[in-house]
Amino acid sequence: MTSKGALVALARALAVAHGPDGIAVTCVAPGLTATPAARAGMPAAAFEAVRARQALPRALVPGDVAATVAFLASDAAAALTGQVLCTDGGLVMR
Amino acid sequence: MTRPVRRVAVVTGGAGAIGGSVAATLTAADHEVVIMDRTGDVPVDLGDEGQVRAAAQRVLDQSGRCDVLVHAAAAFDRADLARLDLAVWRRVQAVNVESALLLARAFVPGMAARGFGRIIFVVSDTVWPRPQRTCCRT
Repeated sequence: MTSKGALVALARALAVAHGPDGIAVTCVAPGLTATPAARAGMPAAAFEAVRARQALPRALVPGDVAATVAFLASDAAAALTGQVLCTDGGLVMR
Repeated sequence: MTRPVRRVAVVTGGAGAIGGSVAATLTAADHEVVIMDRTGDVPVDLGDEGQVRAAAQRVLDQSGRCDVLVHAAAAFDRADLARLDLAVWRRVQAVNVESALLLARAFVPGMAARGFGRIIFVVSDTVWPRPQRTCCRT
C-alpha cells in the first residue's frame, strides 16, 4: 500500500502549509477492519489470526474508524494536526 | 452542539463500508454530508482528473462550501515488482493520492478564507507502521 504512505506524507505537508490558515490535516490508519470487502479478500482463519495478534483482540468494525474520524472533525481535536491515529486494536505494537 | 452554520463534510468512498459509517457518524454529529463515490450524492470516478475537478465544483455549487474533507475511498491492488502493471499502479495512485490532492486544492481556499478546515485521510496501518513502532517502544 505504497499509495497510503504517500497520503501520510501529503497530510504532513498540507498540515504544515495550511496550519496557519486554521486547517488541520490528519490520517486515520485502520487495522484489519471487518468490512465485506476485507472479509472477501482473505480466508476467515487468516482474518482471525490477525485479530488474535492485536493487544485488544476484539474484531475491528467500520464504526471504530468513523468514531475517530468524527473526533478529528470535531472542535475537541483543535490541537491535532499532522498525526496518524491507528484504530487497529494495538496491532501496531506487535 | 449547534453551530451558526452547519458544517459541510465531503466523504469520498461513502458508498463503501468504512466511508458509509463515516458519513452516518458525521451526519449524526450535525454535519451536512456529501458522499462522493461511484454512486452517491456526487457520482464520480476518482481516478479521472476531470471528473474529480467537476465533482468538487459541484459540491461548491450545491452546498456552497466544504469544511471537512474525509478521503476514505481507495483502489486496491497488490503485485510483486516483476508482475507490476504500471497502468494499474497509476490507477491506484490516481484514486488514492491524486484525487485527495485535487479535492484539497479545490476546498482549501474556502477553508482558509473561513479560518477553519479539517482534512482527514483514511490510510492503513498494514504496511507503514515502523515510525509508530519506534515511538511506541521507546
